[in-house]
Amino acid sequence: MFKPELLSPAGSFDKLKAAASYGADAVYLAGQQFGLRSAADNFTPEELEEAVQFAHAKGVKVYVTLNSFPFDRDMEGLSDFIKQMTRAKVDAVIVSDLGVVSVIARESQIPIHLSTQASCLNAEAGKLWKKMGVKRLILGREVSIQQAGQIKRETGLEVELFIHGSMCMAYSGNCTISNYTKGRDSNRGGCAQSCRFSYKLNYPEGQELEGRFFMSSKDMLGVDLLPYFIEEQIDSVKVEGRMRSILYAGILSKTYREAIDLCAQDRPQFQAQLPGLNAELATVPHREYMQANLMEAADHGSVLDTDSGRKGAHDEFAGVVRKVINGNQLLLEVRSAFNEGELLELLPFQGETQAFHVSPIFNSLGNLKLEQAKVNTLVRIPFVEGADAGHLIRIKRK
Amino acid sequence: MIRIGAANRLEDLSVLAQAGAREVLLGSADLSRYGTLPQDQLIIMAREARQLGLKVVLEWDILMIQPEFEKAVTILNALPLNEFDAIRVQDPGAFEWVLQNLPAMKIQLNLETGNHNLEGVLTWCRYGGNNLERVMLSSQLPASTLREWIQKIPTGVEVLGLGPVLILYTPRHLLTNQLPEAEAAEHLRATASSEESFHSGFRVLENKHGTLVFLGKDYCLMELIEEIETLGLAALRLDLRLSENAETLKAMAGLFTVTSHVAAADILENYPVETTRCFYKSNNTDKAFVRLKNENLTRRDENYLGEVVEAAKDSHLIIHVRARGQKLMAGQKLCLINPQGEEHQVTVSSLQTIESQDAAEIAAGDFGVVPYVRLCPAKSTVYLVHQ
Repeated sequence: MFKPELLSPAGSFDKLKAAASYGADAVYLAGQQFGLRSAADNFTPEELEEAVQFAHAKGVKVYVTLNSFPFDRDMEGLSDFIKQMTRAKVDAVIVSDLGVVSVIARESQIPIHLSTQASCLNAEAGKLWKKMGVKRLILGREVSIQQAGQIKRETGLEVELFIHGSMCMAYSGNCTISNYTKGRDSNRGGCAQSCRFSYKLNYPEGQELEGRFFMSSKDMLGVDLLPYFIEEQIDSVKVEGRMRSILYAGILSKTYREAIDLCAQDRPQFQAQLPGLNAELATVPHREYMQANLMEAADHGSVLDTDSGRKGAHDEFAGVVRKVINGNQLLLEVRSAFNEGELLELLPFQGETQAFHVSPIFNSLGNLKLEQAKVNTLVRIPFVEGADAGHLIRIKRK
Repeated sequence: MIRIGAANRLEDLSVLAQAGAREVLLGSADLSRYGTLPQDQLIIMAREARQLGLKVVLEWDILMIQPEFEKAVTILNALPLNEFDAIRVQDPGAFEWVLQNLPAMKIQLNLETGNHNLEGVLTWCRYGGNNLERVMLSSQLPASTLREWIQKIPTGVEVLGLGPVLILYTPRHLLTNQLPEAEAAEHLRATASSEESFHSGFRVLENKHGTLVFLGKDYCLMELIEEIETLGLAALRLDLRLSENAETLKAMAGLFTVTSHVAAADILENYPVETTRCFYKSNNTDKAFVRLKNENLTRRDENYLGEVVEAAKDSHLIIHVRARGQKLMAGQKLCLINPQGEEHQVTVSSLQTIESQDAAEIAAGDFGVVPYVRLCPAKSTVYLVHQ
């Protein structure tokens, strides 16, 4: 049965490893230039080659985002970067600007995916981009699953839709608030998230509404809708979040991997598992979830009313298992502090999580017992059944 | 360089014609972001504009998901398009549809969102061919860029000379969202201000296409009119449709022929909102990026070895060897760069595995324990020093 590709974010090499290990079919990342996440770690040329080798060894594809709207001076390093990407054997590039599309199509054979930043919203636009050399359309987040299916059929192109994560309020690429208010080009990686601020609204009739997050969108959650993605043969489903944590990359990849496989192979079981899948997706930091435009146009009810902040309590990222020592201890790189006796949970790459109360905790060298594991340290904890290097551990806060 | 205007009222046409405008944008409420005209009024105004000697441009500049696109095409097919001299589009789907279906129609392509490199603009022009009579370029392009590009762009170029600065366009109805009792209005307005500096006085317009947010100040190049005249532009646009005051257009009519900055300044004394030139002189909106992350912690490929993952004061550092094919070895000279960017060179005087075994070398992917180095906390990057 048809299965959409699961495309996960990889803002750093550690996030790529998590996404690839936990079930992504493909990851997207950026180099040091041309991306839209200037604050992310991003990949150096050498890292990019390593990342592709690592991913390909696991059967995972690597797409490189060059989705900024570059000025002439920004284009100067593009040819060199294309050569680097060719050398690294990346599987596709994600591009929003026609100038960049044009140069890549002229100078390489790398497949071009049109970024959602280009706001491709209809089949006629897709036909135009196809003539420009685009192989896949990452459709605007305003497009429904059904419309995406229609665009795929009418253009003959692959289509990709976001299935999860934060949403721009604007048509992507059509917001420049940061440019004018912060002097940072939102379409070259400088978005200051002005849409998340609280505003006072003054209506001409005299009404004054204070503390309104009127431009702050709820987050997208599309796991329930996977049957429709499959029905419309959407080629790829994308998880937003290159700036999010390693834990986010891991949990989202693992949960959507399970969901896609179940949905494609055993629909009744998928329906039965949906509450659990949704519960798992609620463990990562998020704003209030909605289905966005996936079924019908998001409008009333799609904006956060009074609180731009994160939704509810969520689990925290205890750390990454770096090594199994002597078969009886785990060496953990600590990302959030936790105390002896606290309830932790190991996330294996596949299968059930393992909850355990951590005790004892030793320092990195194993010669000092600790009451607390502190951030930016390595600690040793007792071996947990099934644990291996690369597995993630979270702190259960509820 | 001609100066062009836009009209949402029949009486505006004669004002524009008498003021010296050569072309007018007419926007149907169904097809245009700022247009408010019903179809029958649109046609009446198109005919009137022609009688007044104005070139008439039909605005189809909304962005459209598939059902809206199909609805728009139905509307267009029902319009007497011979009443219009050109059509103005932004959605690439609209551009493609006009090219394929209206071969006799001249096209004005709005490239004001992005399109900040010449390579892209020239590609749009090549694709539009002879049907493309003009492109509208972004207000984020500085004058020096405009001057250089205009020599190379094969079609006419237009920029905004006076009018609102659009900073956000969404299909969602953000104002009625805040007024749960309100009926969706044809045109709902508000101003939005945040406590964050520079986020004040945004003008917000909601209509059937969603919500448009504008900067508190309008864009205005009219006080630079002598320089603007030398850029080689085909057209300069003065769009006053967002002004709620019907008298604003009349008050600004002189700007359609003004040739001196002094005269322009006099006229603009009565302009209803403050104005700005934004990026006309220079655009440095990428300069702040270096502050968005700590570059000192960004890996440089040359001689990179790994990262400090633990610094136990007066005891040890643990280095994670991350670079492919590299080794951490006893006796090696290392350079550690801390988050403040300070470099500390050390020689590895002793080396142990994480299991506390003495080691001659630690391979990529593994951890090595070395003596403590002051001022090199976790996250410091580690490089090999070749002697």
